[in-house]
Amino acid sequence: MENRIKSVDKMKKIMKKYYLSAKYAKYFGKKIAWITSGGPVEPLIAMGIIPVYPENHGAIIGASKTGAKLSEYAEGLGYSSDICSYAKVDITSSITHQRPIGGLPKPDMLICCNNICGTVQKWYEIQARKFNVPLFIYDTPFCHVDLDEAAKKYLKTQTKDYITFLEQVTKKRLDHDKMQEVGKLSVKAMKIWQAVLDCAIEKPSPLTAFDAFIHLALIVTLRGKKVVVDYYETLLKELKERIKNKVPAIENEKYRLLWDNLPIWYRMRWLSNAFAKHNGALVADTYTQSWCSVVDYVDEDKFLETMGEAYARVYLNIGTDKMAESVIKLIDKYSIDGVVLHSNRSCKPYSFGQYDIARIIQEKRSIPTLFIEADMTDDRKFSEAQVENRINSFMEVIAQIRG
Amino acid sequence: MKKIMEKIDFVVQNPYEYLNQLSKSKKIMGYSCTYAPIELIYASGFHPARIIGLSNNISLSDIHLQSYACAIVRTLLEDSLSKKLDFLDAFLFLHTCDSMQRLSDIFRMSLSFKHFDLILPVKFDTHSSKEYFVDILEDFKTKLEREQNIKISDDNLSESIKIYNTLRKNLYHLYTIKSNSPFSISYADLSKMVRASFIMDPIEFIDVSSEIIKSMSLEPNAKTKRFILSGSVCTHPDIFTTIENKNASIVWDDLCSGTRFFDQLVDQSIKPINALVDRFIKRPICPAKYINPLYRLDYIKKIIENYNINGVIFLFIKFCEPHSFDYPDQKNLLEKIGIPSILIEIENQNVFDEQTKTRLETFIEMIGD
Repeated sequence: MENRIKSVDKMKKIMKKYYLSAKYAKYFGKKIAWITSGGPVEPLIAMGIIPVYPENHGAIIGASKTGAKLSEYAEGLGYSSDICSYAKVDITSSITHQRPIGGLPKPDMLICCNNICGTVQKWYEIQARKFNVPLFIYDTPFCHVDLDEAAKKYLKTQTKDYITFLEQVTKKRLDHDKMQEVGKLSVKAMKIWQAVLDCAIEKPSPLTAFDAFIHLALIVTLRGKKVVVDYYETLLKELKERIKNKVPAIENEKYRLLWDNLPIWYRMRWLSNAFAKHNGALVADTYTQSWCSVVDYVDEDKFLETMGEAYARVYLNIGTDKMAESVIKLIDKYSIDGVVLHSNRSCKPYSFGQYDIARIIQEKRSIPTLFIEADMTDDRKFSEAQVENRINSFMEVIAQIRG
Repeated sequence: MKKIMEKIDFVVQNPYEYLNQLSKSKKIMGYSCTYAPIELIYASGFHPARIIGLSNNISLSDIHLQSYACAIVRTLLEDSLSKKLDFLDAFLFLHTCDSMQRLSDIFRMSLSFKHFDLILPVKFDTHSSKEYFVDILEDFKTKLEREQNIKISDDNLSESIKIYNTLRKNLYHLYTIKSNSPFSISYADLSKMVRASFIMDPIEFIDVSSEIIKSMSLEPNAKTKRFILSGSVCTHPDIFTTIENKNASIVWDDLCSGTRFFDQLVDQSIKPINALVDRFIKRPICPAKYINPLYRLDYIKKIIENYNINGVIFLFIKFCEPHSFDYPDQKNLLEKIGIPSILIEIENQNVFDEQTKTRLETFIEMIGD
């Protein structure tokens, strides 16, 4: 029922090369920084520091269906069953050998940006104690309504603090010309990523949210490198070909759906099929948009001066009503017939507020919403039979409304 | 002392009734946590009242929040939606954890209180974060002035600081008495004092607490097992009496319904807003804030040493992430230094079940055997 995107093999090769370069970094005198998924990676790239993403590793662990086992181990150490499973699987994999891709290379420093949650601060404190390495917290004041002048000033000063921190750890100066180049590439990558996601405006859509989840890896990890721009250009070309030739991601696409929250990594294919069975295609999502939706706040000629504000305005760092506004825009842009909200027990800032968002969707666009309660990594929190029943009922309702 | 405690008992049992009465003469601003700059709020003419939800049954808040939100957040929302907090004119949310952050949105979108957010820095360890902290307090001051149509002078603010410093000194004094003379006052009463201080007019509280301090008879050198409580909010007197009935005393705590509220005073010799910020940075931090990765471990070790502690009781509200993340390393540290500990997780902040009671009693009995 799915038409596989061919470029993905090229991306896998790039990611493999990246993981290997991270693994052998120390042999080439390179430093490793662990960084949160929403963190400002560009200065790391400009300084030749290799960024490593424990959250990406968490996603890999989730997709390899070992999330529950690794979470259980952390729970045995005293971590609550209610805390973020990404954090738990990372804590486990950094002390045991239960890990895919051979685990992550040890960090020389930790960069934690709290624009995605407060959880990462606690998680990185634990890892700073474990690895005894310096931790930099890039603190992005939450924008309930807007960012005030004090917050903007704080973000600018922190960018300077961040560069000073990196220079101290690496004992090297930042090359500002290189930084400028990386900033431009980052902006370019974000724009092409948006163009990739916008291919889903077409009917039928040449890609699904599940494809976007997979292809997200590059924009998250290596934003600011040319290889990312090159890859997304290749991907965009393939998607445009598909549009031209009317090749759909899901055969018989009839109902177009929007996904909210992180993916359920261990049930991606199953979920895709569960919706496809009813001619439903999840064509867009709120998650992968986060890596391009704030591009307008960045001035590529003044990247360091403007990046802080953009990082503070990401989807997870704005008020629930602003999130609802973004969702409504996505509904209109991608001609959405129904919204699937993953109530993710691991991610409270993404999940709390979803009930209000669903209410606003129903009030403003009168389209059905479906809640799936689960966890992004830990399959103990997923009830297949229950979710299947809910999807079937939801799709029946959509079919009745849309015909 | 029993007679004077009646006033405190009344306030703790009927906080909303007390505030309702007070609201007839003064506007009331509720706030969500101990990072509220109450001195500023008070100087603006609002009465600051920390609201800890009371509802045992959650139904209305289920429309807004999933079941895996913590009881602090759910009960606060429940009380608001069920109109128990209608005496409030305004509500101030402080940026602490992810759940509180989203609760603030729900309040702003669904409730009619005048809404304020104070987006505190998460880290307290840099010059830039301190500068930002001062900036946002200055901004909050301007907002309060606009709201109340007044000018808050440095003198007004200094007077307010003086009042709350006295209130905090009294609480600190009571805790010190408890630590030195554990049978002079029960922890249940001590905890009530802190909770009453969140609610009462500060001058009235100072009078009552001063009377209590005067009337206390000290019994030094009492032999008892010495415990501290560590967690966020604990308001359940049954937990305290269960512990203290077993020849044990809670001689200090690391709770935001305890010492984190009153430890450290505001320096009255420097610019008031800067002095407020300095106090927030100096006081024991909540785990949602950051000074360095070892802070929370060093802090628990320090109070164990300072108060000659025999055991630690972690009292966590279920689904509270910041505390849960700290726990395993804290537990390991305690094992290393030979201090027994137990973790009690409370699902609903107002319910203390039999099974938990038995676990707690057994733990206390085993200490010192």
